Order: sequence, then structure tokens, then C-alpha cells
Amino acid sequence: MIVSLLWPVKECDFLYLLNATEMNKGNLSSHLAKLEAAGYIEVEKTYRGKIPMTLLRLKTSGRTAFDKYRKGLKTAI
Amino acid sequence: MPAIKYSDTTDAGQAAMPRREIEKHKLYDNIDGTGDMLMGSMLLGFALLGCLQNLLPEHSIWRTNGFASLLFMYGVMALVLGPAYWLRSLVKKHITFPRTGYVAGHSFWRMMLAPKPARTETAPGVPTRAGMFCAMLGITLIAAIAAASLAGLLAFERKHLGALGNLEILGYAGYLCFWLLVYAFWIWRMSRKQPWKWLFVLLMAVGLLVVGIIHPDDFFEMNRLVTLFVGAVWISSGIATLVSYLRHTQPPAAETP
Repeated sequence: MIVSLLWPVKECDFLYLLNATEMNKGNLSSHLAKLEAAGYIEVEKTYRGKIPMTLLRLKTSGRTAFDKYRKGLKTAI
Repeated sequence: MPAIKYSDTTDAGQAAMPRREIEKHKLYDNIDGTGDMLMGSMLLGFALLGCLQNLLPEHSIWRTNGFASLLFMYGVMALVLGPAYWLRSLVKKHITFPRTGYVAGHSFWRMMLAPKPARTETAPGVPTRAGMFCAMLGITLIAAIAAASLAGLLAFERKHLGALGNLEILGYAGYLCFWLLVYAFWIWRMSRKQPWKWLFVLLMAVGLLVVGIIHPDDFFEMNRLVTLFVGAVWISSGIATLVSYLRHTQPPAAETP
């Protein structure tokens, strides 16, 4: 779900994913940590003015893995 | 912001997921109504351009010289669209992104030049090429059918139309229907989450019919009226969307650590 949300965009922030997935903060953070550990996403901590902002981008490896997953599903169907 | 509902748990649904996400991102781009306001500003710019060109002296270089009139057009549109884009970025930066999150689409050139499958990704607000072609074809066909119907209605008002022939009435009716369908397509494509915006489609239909009945004789003058009216409706729907967005979202909160 998270990867499919990141796939069509260049980058987004944590708040966008929070609204889009309707997960709670802890749950989403946990999923993002796992995706980052797997090397699929890039997490950048920055600021919007004085407010901290977490930017998320899907890496090339993440895109490749997701494309493989989609191809596999289409073949299976 | 409405969440994405993954009600389809089948494999086919999972495979179709990225297309739904592309659609969601397009819808998110206009969640604050800035897309509507930008479209409306563009049309008001065209209306203003028409009015200014009318005010120019007949032998003015800005009218007679092709290159000069092109520069004049770009100048007027830049004066209108420049502030409109600036206002849009302000709303995005200070209202939308702090409330419901920041998202940046891929660049336009990546969309156009990247090899597949990257080319199938689309930035928010950028339609796919196949989608654009189908949309244009659909709009043209439906406009032709609707124009024939409207022409019949306008023919009953022939006494207000002077010496216009049937083909001209059909042309005018087609032109009015075209704008209505473009706006309806925009609402369907970019504002599906706000069904109340279809009331603006109704408003536009009534308004265009009135414009068609009241002032159909000179096409250029009617064109100015139409673009002015359509632009005003588009901007109004954008403002209404922004007000609705402000009412239904929470003020900015601190980001999660």
C-alpha cells in the first residue's frame, strides 16, 4: 500500500501518507522503518520553516521490486 | 483528505492499485481548488485579452503585425497567469501542505521522455496520453450531439438571432456545449470527491444558454462573454472548494518525529 502510494510520485511527506493510508502514526512509522531497512525507500528528515518534516521517496530498488511484484501478479491472473 | 479504500482484495485489484494511486494523486492536486482557480484565471486572461484587443486602434501595430500581436497576447497572459501561479504556490505552501501533506509529482519531461514503465507514471494533474485522446474524442462527439439538441432549442428563438442561418446556430450551440462539456469533464476528472460541484455545471449550463440567447450575433463578442463567464464560474468553484477544504481539514499540526 505504502509503496503503491510512493510509486507514482517523486516524493511526499509523512502527513500525506498518514492521511492516505488512515494508519496511526506508530503503525505507519513501523512500516516505513521496515521499508527503509529493506532499501526500498529513502527517508529524509528536514524542516518546513520551524516544523520538522519527513520526506519519503521510493528508491530505484523499490520501484524495481514493485514492478516485479506487479508483473508477477498480472502473470498469475 | 479522503483515504484510499482498498476494498478490492483480489489479485486483480492489487495489480490495478498503482493506477488508482495515480488517480488519487491527480485528485489530491485539486483538493484545495487551486486547479480550478488557475483554469478560471486562464480563461479570464483570454477574455481580458479579447477586450484589450478590441480597445486597440484599428491600425495599431499590436493588431496589424503578427509578431507584435503574439507578443501582446503573451504579455497579457503572463500578467494574468503569473500572479495566479504565485497565489497557487502560496496556497499550497501555507495551507494545503501543512494541513494534509506535501506531495511532489515527477517532472513533466520524465513523463514524456522516460521509457516504459516509467512513462506510465503521471504527475498529479497530468493526464495520460491515451486518456487525453479519449477525452477529446468523447467531448467532440458528445458536443456534436448536444449542439444539435441545443440548436433546435435556439431555432425557436430565431427572432432574436437576426439573419443567422441553421449552420451558424449549430456552430454557436456546439461552441457553448463544448465549454460545458470541458468543465463537466474537469469536474469528473479532478473533483470526483466533491459531488456538490456538479451544481456549478448546472449553473454553467444555464448561464451559457442565457449567453447564447442574449448575444449570439457577433461570434467574437459572444466568445469574450463566454470565456468571461466560464472563467468566473471556474474561479468560483475553486474558491468554494478551498472554503470546503478549510472547513473539513484540521489546521497544521507538528510533524511526527
